[in-house]
Amino acid sequence: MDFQLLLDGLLTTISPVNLLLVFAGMLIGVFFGSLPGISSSMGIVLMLPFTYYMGILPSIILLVALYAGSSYGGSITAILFNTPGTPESVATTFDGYPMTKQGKAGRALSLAISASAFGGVFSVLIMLFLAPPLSTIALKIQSAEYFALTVLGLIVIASIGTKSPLKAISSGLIGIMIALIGMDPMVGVDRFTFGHIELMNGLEMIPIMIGAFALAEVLNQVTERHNQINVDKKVSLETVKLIDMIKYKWVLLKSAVIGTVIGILPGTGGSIASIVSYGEAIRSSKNKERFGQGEEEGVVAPETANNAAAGGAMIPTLVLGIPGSPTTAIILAALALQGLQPGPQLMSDQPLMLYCIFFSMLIASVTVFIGGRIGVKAFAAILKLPYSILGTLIVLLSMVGSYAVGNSMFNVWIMFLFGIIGYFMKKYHFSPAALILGLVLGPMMEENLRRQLLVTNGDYLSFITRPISAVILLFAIVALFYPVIAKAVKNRKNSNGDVSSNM
Amino acid sequence: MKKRFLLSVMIIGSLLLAACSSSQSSAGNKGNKDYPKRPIELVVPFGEGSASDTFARKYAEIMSKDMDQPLQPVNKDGSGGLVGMVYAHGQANDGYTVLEVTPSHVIADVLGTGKNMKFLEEFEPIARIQEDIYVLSVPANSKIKDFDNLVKMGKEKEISFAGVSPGGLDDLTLNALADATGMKVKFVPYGSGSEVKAAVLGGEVDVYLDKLINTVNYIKDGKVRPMVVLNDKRITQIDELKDTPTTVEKGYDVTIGSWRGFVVKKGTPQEVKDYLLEQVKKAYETEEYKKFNEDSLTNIRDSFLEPEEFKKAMQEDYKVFDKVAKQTGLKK
Amino acid sequence: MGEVIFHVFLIIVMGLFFKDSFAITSGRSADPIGPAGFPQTLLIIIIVLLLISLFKAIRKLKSGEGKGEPLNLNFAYFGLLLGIIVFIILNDLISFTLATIVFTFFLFWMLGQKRYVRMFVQSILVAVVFTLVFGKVLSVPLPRGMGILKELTYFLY
Repeated sequence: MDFQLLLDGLLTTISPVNLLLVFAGMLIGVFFGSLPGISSSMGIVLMLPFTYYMGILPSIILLVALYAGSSYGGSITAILFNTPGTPESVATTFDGYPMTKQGKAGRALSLAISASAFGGVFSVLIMLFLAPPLSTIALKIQSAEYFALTVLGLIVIASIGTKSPLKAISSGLIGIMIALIGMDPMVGVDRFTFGHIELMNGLEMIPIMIGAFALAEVLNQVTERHNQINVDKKVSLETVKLIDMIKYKWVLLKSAVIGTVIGILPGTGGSIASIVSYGEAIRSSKNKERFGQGEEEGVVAPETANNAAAGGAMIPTLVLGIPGSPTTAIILAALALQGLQPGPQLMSDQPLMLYCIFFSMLIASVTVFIGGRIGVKAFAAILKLPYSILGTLIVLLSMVGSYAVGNSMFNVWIMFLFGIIGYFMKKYHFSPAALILGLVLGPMMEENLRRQLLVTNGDYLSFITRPISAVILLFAIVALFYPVIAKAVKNRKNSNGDVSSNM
Repeated sequence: MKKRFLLSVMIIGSLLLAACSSSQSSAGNKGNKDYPKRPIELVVPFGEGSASDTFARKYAEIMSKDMDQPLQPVNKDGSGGLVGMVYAHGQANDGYTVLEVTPSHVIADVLGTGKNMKFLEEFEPIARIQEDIYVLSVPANSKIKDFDNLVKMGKEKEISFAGVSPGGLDDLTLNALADATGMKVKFVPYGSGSEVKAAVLGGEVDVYLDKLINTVNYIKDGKVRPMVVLNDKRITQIDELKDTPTTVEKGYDVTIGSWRGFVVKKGTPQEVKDYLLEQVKKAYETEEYKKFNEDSLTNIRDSFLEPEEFKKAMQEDYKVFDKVAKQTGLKK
Repeated sequence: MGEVIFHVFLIIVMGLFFKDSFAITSGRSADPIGPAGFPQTLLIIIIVLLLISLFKAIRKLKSGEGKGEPLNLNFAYFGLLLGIIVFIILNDLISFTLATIVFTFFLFWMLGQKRYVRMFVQSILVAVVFTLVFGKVLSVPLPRGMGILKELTYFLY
């Protein structure tokens, strides 16, 4: 920690031009993030031509602000239209959209903003103070631990969609199954491609997500009641007072830690971070049954985590030259285009960079917070449009967004197919959310399971002899049986109570 | 009221249209050749941010500076470069679609992953532009002392190494080396380059095979130690690798590296190919590209190849990969 | 009834996957599980779970409480799906912009708007904005259609 550099970093970042870049990056990030199918990585690629002429520090300031902004942007469409703009905001739809349906869109959005800002600020502080030791620890996370982490993530499936756990679990497993289509990760043979080259790379997650959530919801709306199909007409623009957030201090803190830690791990990212912290929020909540019905903690937890993951992902990127997420990989590539070589020497070659990144992400998070609170009303007001316009726009966005993912019509067909499947899943109480969780976590689960066995020559015990992996698996088991145990304890208490009252 | 609304919309619409069309036409005022009349699509068959993508974007940017119409990179990621290839094959052979290619495409031919589409038959080369060199290294705290030691150990027990895509270039390259030296190796695939690096630094695998540029940074930082460079000549340009032997020095003729070049679909008019080759050459000579090439440490081998030589080189590669694939059981 | 049919549909699809899983070549051996092991285990579990769920659904149907809410697959539902199919096909024929005008107008009409002139103007506006935002600003290579239309789109995006 070098105070001179800290000060220099601050002065560099708040110089007028750079400050403008922070704001611009943040706004562009929010915009890209909110469009389904347009990821923050794509946003950064689009910005590349401009960065050629900017020099290293201004470019990185712009790009990290964009990154910070995009993880918030995704939540806007997730909450308002059930259309997650980015995979990271899938978990936000679980409770965010029900809140919108109850007419509490304004509240949901401002919760998301406040949570995002907290997650963002928390993780950059961690980045500034603890980057080197944390990245050393991150290297201890290997295949066995990744596998354990996916198991922990999948446990969430059993707890969401509580109406029928049997169907929720089936949906999740079907999600994993769909993710297995394509080239096998360990030996490279085709699986379930039915002879199609398009399927070799597997199905893209985003079109499936858009279909199963956005299109399915539109189908649901048009069949529900013709013409008067809008969500609750009285859209409340009421927002959250800052002081209200204190109620969620533990959820905020836990999710921020989970987000940062998962963000650090290469090959994971905001989507897994938000799912795991959503699961943790359910586990520790007293009102489990309210999740999925518009529970506020269900918005706070994933939003905190996915923004924290953005800061977390910067840590190994800077310290080890190993990008913590696909987006940071592209930020590194952008630096490479300017002749800067990513790698462990980055911090010593460019001492000021860490501090500029810190301030840029910090300022971006704070402005998202301030600007977002004003913007909430504008965003929520979109809901006042008649459904004939709103529905049309959602369908169009879904289609263009799916197309933009791989620039191919094939993805639009996939979106279409999963729109129909998603509609029926919801009607018959299967869980599209669990399907997506399976889709996100499934491939990681299989790959790391098999890789660990490959590395250890088939030693199944290695999952529990490695300490970190063992601890995570223990957590998973506790999370799985917690509801049962809690129920048993409760029943016992109740019966005791009955007995005593009878006496 | 309604009319005014209508009118204003039309005005805005036409303004927007005018703005766009003028920005398009202002670019193309030099000369009146038939080609190119509109932007040329450069299909990048890999994801945004990958090494091939970075290269393609930089090169397209440099080339576009001297062309009437820009070369626009378009990412069509998937299946180890196949999705992009299939897409490019589906476009007309009028020269408005150029495909970036790497050894992955030759490997697809070898393994038959492209089903009925044979890359070497369906496309015609423009030029090979860039070439990477592979370096084999071990984590700093590894017990393996040097290359001879590694080979000796590898004969006794399986050496594990990390790489991306099973049956891909990393896999085949190390297997080729293993085959030449008699080592036993185990390929452990990871999802991305960053996971490979994390696995190496975290000690999950024994050896690390990566491109020069990636490895050199870790050598500088003392995270890994170089064992051998897959090249014929010693790399004297980089201090860290001066004392590292090469495979050819050690008596193994394995110098597989990654390369990047441009091709067009079969049947593209000769004038078009000539024009593209000329522009590619011009860009190759610019200071900007030289600087970029130097920064990415791809300037060690003389990599530029004209169409005929490029074709020959790819056919050579095919034979090498074919041999390795058969030996490892990837191809029957 | 619908619920039972949906279950059967899922079971059939999963069954097809299961059948196809035997066609997975093992390639060279790497890990003890192999490429087919994980999906096969998974598919067996899925099919068992679905069968239990199907059994429950049938029982519910027999006991008469399985009516639930009716599906109401109305005109708008099929209209929307058909519209999307036509839109996808039109994209490759008459370019994204023109296809979007047609599609948007159709959706407006289907979702209950009546003022045709305004709908028409709005459709054009939506199409132009989408084209410019995605095609121009975000440089997504939108479909260009065929023939003369293809040439014309280069003026727009």
